[in-house]
Amino acid sequence: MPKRTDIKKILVIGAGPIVIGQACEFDYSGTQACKALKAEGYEVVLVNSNPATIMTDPEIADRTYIEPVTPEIVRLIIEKERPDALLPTMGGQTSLNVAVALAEDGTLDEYNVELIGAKLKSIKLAEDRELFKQVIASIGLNSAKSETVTDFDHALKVATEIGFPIILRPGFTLGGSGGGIARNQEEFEIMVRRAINESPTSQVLLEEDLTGWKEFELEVVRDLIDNVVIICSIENLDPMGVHTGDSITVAPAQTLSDVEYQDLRDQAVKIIRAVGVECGGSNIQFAINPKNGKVVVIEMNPRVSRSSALASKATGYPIAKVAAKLAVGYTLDELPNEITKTTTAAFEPSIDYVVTKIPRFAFEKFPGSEAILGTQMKSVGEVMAIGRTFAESFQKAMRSLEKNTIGFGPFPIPENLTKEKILIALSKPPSPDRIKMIWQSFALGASIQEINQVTFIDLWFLAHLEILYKEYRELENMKEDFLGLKDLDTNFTLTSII
Amino acid sequence: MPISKETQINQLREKFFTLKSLGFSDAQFASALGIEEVEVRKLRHKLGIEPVYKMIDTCAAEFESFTPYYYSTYEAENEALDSQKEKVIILGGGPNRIGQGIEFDYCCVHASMALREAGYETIMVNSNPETVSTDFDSSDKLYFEPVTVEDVLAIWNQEKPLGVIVQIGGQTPLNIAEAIEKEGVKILGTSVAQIARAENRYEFNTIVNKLKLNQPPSEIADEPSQVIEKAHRVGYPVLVRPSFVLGGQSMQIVYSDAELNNWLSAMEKSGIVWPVLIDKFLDDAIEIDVDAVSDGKEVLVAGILEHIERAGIHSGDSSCVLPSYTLSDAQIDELIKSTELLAKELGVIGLINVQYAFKEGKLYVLEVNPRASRTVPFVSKATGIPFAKIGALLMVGNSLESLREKGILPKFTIKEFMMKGLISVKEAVLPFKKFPGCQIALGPEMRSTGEVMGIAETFGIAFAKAQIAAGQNLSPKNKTVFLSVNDSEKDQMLEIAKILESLDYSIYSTEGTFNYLKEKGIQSTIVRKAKDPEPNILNLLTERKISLLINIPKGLDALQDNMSIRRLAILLDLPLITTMAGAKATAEALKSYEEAGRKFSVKSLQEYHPVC
Repeated sequence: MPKRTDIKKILVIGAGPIVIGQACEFDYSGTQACKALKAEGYEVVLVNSNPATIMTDPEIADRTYIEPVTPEIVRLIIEKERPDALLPTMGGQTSLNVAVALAEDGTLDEYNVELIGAKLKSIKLAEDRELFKQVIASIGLNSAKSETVTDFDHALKVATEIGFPIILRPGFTLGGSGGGIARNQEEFEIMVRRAINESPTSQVLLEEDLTGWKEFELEVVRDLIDNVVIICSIENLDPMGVHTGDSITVAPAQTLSDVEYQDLRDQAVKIIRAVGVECGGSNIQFAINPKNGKVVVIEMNPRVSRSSALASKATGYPIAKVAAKLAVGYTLDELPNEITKTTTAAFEPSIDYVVTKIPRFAFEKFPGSEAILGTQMKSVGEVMAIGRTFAESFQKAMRSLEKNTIGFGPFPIPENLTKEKILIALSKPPSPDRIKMIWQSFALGASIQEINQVTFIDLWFLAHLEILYKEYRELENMKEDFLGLKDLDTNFTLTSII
Repeated sequence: MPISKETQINQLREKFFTLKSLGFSDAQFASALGIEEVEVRKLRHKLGIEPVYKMIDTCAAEFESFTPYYYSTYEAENEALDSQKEKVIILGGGPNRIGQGIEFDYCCVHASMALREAGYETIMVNSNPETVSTDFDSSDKLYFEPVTVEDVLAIWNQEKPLGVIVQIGGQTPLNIAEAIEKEGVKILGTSVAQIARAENRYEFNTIVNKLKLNQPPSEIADEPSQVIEKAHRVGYPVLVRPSFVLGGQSMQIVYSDAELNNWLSAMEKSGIVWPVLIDKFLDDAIEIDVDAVSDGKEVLVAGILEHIERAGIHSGDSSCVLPSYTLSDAQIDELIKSTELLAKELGVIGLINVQYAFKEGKLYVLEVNPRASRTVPFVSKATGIPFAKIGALLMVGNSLESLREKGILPKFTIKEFMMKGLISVKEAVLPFKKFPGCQIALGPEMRSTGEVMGIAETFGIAFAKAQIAAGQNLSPKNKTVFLSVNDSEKDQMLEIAKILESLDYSIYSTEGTFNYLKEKGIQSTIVRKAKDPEPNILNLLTERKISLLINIPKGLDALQDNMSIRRLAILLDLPLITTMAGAKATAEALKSYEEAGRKFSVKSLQEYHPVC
């Protein structure tokens, strides 16, 4: 289908200020979207309050409003500009929330503005835990069990349904105090009473504990005639329990068999259709139980996300640009692949290298807070590195971090540190230092099995890290041999090695 | 059977190569072999081991690809395409962190746009996947690589460009500038030696003295025994910090020997690096950021930003306004003149940022950074002039005059711009909510993650817009304010209380504030302090009976007593104001906002700056 000619002016909503969890990846996606729409001849109106973005440069959109991204202000802009359509999927959660508010209060109807890229129904379906769970169940897939309770008796009933271990999350408490993991009935009864008391609203969310499960993400793009392509699979080196934004992630997924991967693909395609994201990019997260292979759907973002920025960079497939063009009616087979110039956007990228992303933290700036990684994102930035193998990309990412790291090791071993102590430390909730600690564990004689038992990090990753550790030690032992080469008077060329 | 010398050499070469293909850096080799990284590099070149570049082609080499988006590896075939154009490498900022974020990505992308338009081939090097700079169409070539000495040198050797731009990617490129220059790289713009000169404390003192400018009295302590004595020589309050810190880390303002001793023992625990710098802290001074560009002959001041909070709060965390709103014409002239002197003295070619303070009418130079600053994008949006682009064009040899002739740089001056009557406010966004238990207070160490901008014809509305954009709710259903202010600032508070009262805010206050207000004829409701028995202020907050908090204690003990109030306010997303200057600006903003019937007019950048 060619692009739509019934719409002329499109409003794009940006993400507002950089905050933890919503950073400059949305400048990247918003800039791409505005440029793509403008190139197609649409008049683009942009609102974003963040002056440090490229997207708010006066030449990126036709009209650039550096104004607060709130429903009230965006309504004023709609009143003034009278756009035909609103694209809400490029500015993170902020943009979706504003779009939902304006759809629900009637502003969009009043001014005859069409939501493009994602419809209200599918946004709400993906956002609402309960509705999403129902959809997942209706297509025969699993989601994590969870329910909010406010009294003890109800809590006991829900606990029986979920099964142990259970995560307790009291609402509105400082640092989630009063929360934790109950492993059995006895622990649960004590903990849930405390949690209900701690929460000013008495609300406690009970969740099936998936800590330690393997975590994967799929970046999916769909067009209006129901073509679906998988752009990229991403595997989290850090198992479930650590927010994806705080996890070290690797693309493509490294530890899945083809059968398992095809299963995730099929599930992802089913989900994007069932949720009804008509066109554009979505990110779907899965957890897999390493013991029995059970797959659980964690969540879906019906918009461009941090992971889509990563997937775009990792594959060369510009998800935001493609999503913007799909939103105005193009189909995947009509959009050229700008890298090859001969194929189309309907071709799934295939990659012959490995990409590693490592987040960067800033706990040292906030003394008093605990440097622990959990389900709430804490990192302030990230690096990505590309190599032919996981080992190469991981080491390059480590040296990109600028945290006095020159690769995976060496790290100093404190004098009184023992293997037992470091394994106990690793068994506690993960910290930003976990990679350093794994290197130290190797140095103190721990095996990859021992590390896996406390961290749940897949043996495949640990085996590669162990190779890197051993190679470094071997290099140390070859010092004299290598230093002897310095005095050679021949100069060699690369071809004589390969 | 003994192996031959030649076989042994080949085995070692293979080993070296294998380790490189496993991603080991030259620095890791240096560490394992106990030699300098430069020595490793020499050995590697001798052994003929160099990286090759592969293309990101979306199709695993199934189809031919033309997009020069590369990564390095150690293999046989090099896919990097040759080109004959004049090339410039732009070094990006690597991972975002507090103090070095999107602003520098903005500058890198602008440099690339400007140089492309001017006919150069631009080559971007960066490792941050979140950015626009690592979009493959932001530059002619993209190397998605670590911004380290080793990786940048390899790209330099591959591309052989005119030079490398290091002054717009934040601290990351500057950290390696000296090392890559030593290994043969040409740095464009202000020289590395001059940048180092501005960062070196002794050199900087010499420059300031030579130009007959002022700086706050300062001392350098080389060991613990000197600290107290030198602090006395400077006179309390003092700003103490270890030398060589970034983003104001471990900096503190101390008012007494006791506080200084506390700071020292905390520093010793975390492993302090001597010497320690002790500066006179300019209490209640007005801070100013000046951004400028220079071609080496002419200096053009791009923006003068007045901080709203008083001195002592990191420039990245304080809100600021452009144009300045309390400075006199003569003070503006003095700022322009001082900036010109400093830029010329440092031979700046490109961008420069100077931080100043006015105390009792006297101008002090606090810091000079001959590089792009965090405020460049804000200044560009406020004035409509793309200063990052202009900076990049200057670095490759253009003069300001030639840019005016080409129509790239408008002909008006900063002072003429200031007459336009357009006011822009920048507000910082802080992540305290994400770090439960942390200290909630603004200080000399930067903690904000982002910023917003409000533009309007009056200060009040511009500030209100910035607050709303930063997530503050200025239209509460019930207008209630909690006031708790230290004795020395109560007189200043009075004016604020009056404004809030006139706007129908009900005032809640702690005992001291309550009595003071009562004396002055302002009615308020008394609330118990957080450390008093319940019901106290914390209960009021939880019950959502307060819609605005103004909490300004004095001294570290009082601050600790108030921390639980602040933490709860942050948790509940309530507007929390912790400085008197911030409170004044907020009162003014609320007044304008209410007078405008809680409504704004909205205007696009294209309407504000028709030329752009």
